[in-house]
Amino acid sequence: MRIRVLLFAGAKEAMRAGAVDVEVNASSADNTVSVAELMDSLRQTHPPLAKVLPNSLLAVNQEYAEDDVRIKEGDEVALIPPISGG
Amino acid sequence: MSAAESVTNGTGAQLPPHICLREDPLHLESVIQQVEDGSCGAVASFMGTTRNHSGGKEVTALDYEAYAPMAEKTIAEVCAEAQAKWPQVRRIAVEHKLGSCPIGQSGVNIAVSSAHRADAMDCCRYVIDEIKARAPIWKREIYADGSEWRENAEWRETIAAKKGCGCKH
Repeated sequence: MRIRVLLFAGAKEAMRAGAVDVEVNASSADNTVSVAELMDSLRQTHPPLAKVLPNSLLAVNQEYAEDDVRIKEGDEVALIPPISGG
Repeated sequence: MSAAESVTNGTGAQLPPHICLREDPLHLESVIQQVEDGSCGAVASFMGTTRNHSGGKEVTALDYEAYAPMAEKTIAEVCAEAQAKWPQVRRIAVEHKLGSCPIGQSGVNIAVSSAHRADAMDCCRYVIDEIKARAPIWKREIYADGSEWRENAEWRETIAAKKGCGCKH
């Protein structure tokens, strides 16, 4: 399964792109992948993100997601590096 | 509650928040006008402005970027929580800057109206604190000799709540 991950701020600069596509091995049972598994795939396939990933969260459909949340095809996924609004 | 009852007991129903991310310069009057109401005896406001120094470095400007749809959704959730905590709050208005924000200009403006001052002031504090902890908005500090993406201290608590610990995995 291929998942598009939106990038912002330092992550966008590291990849020089506003999004990356990540190929993941989805569970055969329900064709989903966990947040933790997607993070691992990102780390392995996109080395420039290695520095920012430990302090980042994934947002799934515009909600911060814990490691065990399942991502399915068509979900909106974004990598949220440390925020600094306000 | 009828309009007449509303006037008699001095409280109005809560109004949906005004939330706006914008590229043009922010003005405090804009958020204040959004919340002013005859039933309110208090309007509390907060401006977060660009400071000319950070960590011993001279800052020349800030540059804001947002994951806009999620930022607006998150701020709406914060406002809903705040209105539940302070039922006397009439309305909350939040405007956040996107793009370049020169020294002294406002990056975020918040106004809260309520029947009495304590609720308005406490609610305003809650809204800015939660925005800094949760809204996916980023600021890059621009220095004479470079730039850096900043991190709010509150982000550590948000990470810890989602990952179960604050350590680096």
